[in-house]
Amino acid sequence: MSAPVSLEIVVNGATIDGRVDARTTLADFIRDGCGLVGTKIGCEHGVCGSCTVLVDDLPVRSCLMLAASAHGSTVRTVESLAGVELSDLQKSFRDNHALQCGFCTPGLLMTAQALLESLGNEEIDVREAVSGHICRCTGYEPIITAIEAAMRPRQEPAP
Amino acid sequence: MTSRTTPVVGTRLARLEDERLLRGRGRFVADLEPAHTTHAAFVRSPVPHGRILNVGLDAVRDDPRVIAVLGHTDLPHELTNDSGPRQPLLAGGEVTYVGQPIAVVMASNRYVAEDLTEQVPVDIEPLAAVTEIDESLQGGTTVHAGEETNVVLINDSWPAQLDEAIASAHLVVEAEYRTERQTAMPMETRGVLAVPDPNGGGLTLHTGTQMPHILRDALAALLELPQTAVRIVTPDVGGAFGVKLAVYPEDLVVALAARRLQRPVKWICDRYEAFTSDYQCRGSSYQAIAAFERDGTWTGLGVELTCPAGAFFAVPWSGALVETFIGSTSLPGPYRIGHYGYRCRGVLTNTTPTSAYRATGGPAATWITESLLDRAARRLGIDRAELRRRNMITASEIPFATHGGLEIDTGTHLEALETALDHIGFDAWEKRRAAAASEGRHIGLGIASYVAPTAAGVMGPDPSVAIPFDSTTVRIEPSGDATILAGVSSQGQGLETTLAQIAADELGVAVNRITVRAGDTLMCPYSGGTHGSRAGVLGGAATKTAAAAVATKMRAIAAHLLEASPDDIDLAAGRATVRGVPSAAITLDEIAMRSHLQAQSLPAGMEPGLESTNRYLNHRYYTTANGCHVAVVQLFEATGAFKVLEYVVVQDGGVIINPSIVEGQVRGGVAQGVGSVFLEAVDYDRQGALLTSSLIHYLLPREWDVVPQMRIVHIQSPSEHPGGMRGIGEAGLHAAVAALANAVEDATGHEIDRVPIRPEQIADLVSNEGRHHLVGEQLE
Repeated sequence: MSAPVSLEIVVNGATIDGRVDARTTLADFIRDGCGLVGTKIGCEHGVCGSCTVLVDDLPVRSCLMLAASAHGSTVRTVESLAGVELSDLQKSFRDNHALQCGFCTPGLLMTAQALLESLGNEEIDVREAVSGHICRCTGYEPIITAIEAAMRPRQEPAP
Repeated sequence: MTSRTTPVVGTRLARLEDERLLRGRGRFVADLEPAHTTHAAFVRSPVPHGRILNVGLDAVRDDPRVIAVLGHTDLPHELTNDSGPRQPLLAGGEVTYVGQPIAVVMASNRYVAEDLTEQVPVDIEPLAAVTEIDESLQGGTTVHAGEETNVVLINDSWPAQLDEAIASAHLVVEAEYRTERQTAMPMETRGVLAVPDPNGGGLTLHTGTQMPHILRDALAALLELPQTAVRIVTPDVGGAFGVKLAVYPEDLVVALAARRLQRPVKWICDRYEAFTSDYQCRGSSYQAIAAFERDGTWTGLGVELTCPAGAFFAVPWSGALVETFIGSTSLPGPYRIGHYGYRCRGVLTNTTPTSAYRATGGPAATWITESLLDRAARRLGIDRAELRRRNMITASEIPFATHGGLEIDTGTHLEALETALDHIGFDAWEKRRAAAASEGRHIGLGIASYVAPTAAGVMGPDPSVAIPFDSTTVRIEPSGDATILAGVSSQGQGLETTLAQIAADELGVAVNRITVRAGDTLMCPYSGGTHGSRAGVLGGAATKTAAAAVATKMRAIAAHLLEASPDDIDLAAGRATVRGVPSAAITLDEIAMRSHLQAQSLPAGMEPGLESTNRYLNHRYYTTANGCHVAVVQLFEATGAFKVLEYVVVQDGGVIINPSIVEGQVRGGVAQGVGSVFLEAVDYDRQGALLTSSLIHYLLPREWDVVPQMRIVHIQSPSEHPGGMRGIGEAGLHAAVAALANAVEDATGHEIDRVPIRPEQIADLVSNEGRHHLVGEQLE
């Protein structure tokens, strides 16, 4: 048994005050505690990347982080990306056929989102940047293409 | 047909399912949590073979956190296996593989349930285990104590003429090929949520099965319930690739537990459990012999296939059955071979049972055929492309009945080969390789022509084979919106999009007026499920047929209202128009409204409503899809690494519904081929302990393993089925293993007999000490 822990986390802009078992992973807290089941649990050992969320703007494998460790942090999940319309990144995934079953997609979107937000003018190897994610359906190429396409307007000002 | 709009079939329509998946609104089994759900965790066998002395369920039974704990005596049910010993849902007297379920514990959440499973003492006396197929075939130790043999399948067809062809051949090539065990490993693990249904005393099972109706029938039989009392619902499914075909012990245990508790029971397989309990695949050996004349004429092929079943013959299809059956069917490929024979053996081993994995049996078959051709070409001194040309079925020979039982009705084999060779620059290949070699780079080229059996049809009297038809209901609601209730359901293939595309063209409505629902045995008509490259072919044909039936009725109503002949009515852009008279038109919405709400205005005697359920039966043994893959790989001496430099796919999959979706299937299949040839192997030690129990140990293809710029060329020979599809879900993997393995053989100068090829082998094969040229005039 593990002792309950109090925590306060901002999830997708909403402040969550909660009590969890100390051993509760951030992934389970997001899904079961916050009801945000868009975050997917693929391996629970930090290899597949499906559960990736942004903690204080950095991609984190939420299966490897305890919810209690996220106390005081700001967390963003896949549910935060779209408004009424899909975001440009999400549209690029759709337009480039970058998903099939869609199970690894939420994690990939969050890593890509962090990449887009941190873009400077340096050369980014997207393949390297998303290499912590496993996709079993697509063969990856459309994912790389989709993220590169979403990066382009941010990196190159329109002529 | 002037008023027809451009067809939607054939266009790169964005997928209709993507919006919800991209928003994180996909709903997979793990995301479903009805009130009062209890969570199950399994106690599993830690040993490959042993006699159960005690399972101490009493140790946890009184724990206040336990909602229920069930063992073999509580649930003594067994699966009905077609061959070999009966499979208990929960092991009783004996365990026969690591991971076999022994007991199940239910608690308020998964954390607690797992804690409790660890508190159940399990006392097992170890028995000798058999993990290798050769050892199993020899006998001696049996997988199940008290059984006389490990052989659970024998299927031989070896004509005497084959032996004569071998005896009189100019050249005989003999080889043994091996595939390591693999596991399909979709990113979503298996999972089950069983919810009791107070109406009728049955239940609803939410699970990612590829065959909802087959699972329903199995569950109803086991529970002794009418089929109408059991409902299977597949929500969004995160990939399957064959591993979600079988009827698993966990499915049934969870269902039985939910009925017993009369509350929802949920089990989500974790990744470690997936490695021990997901039915595996491949792991087979092939003794091959091929006979050729001096001019390259292929006079004989014989292969002995030995495939593992694991500890039980999986329901409904053991890997031992499907690997040998589809393997022996696929082996002759697109070639004219004088005589052909096979001997198939399926053997038990003390390992997780086996079942299907994408293109089951096909990858090894294509590899064997294409490798034998390469080796024969070297020994005959004939160019390997030329040897293929000389033996390949030509357009003038169509239809061509292969010795494998296929009736090939496409004549595009040579076209596919030549196109692929052109794209890769085959004529300049030897020069290119020599140039690379002079720079110390090891590159190789592999060719794989294939014929894939797809959309299994009527196979004869054997009841254990696939359902040869599929079904769709097309219903127009009073608003004019269309609901499609498809028998076939998606595990990520995008069937909501492709079936809507098919229906849109028939009905003459926009795709956004169509909603496809699938994967619910209560709503959807009877289906054989999604596997074996059948969903697009048979589900697509049924959808087209049903939509056409509704369209015919809409034409009749329009003709009646517009005072024209039904033959003169075009349905397009949401309107029914009299051909040549654009002003004489009525919207389909109005037809829909009238057929429901103003039935008195319909033609005399016409039944109200706009709905049709149609079933399409493939009356042939199989349909076929064919093509050619060519791969160029580079191997690195220092690290043993590989890199796929170029990859060309030319495929004839019949009519393409959506090129983006087809290409996605091809890319994904080829990536799985990369995994099969270089990365993926389930390893057991000699004592039967599982060594690959995480994604750290079992390597799936990653971003840097795949082909950056794959070229995919489509040939579209329509099949005989409505819509003309041939099946493309498996073709990528069907050929990729052969293309890549042959490329490694070409690069190393060593005969490659086993996949995957590990980095240490690559380093060894391309090292200066290890490298030598293959036997043959061409390379000497």
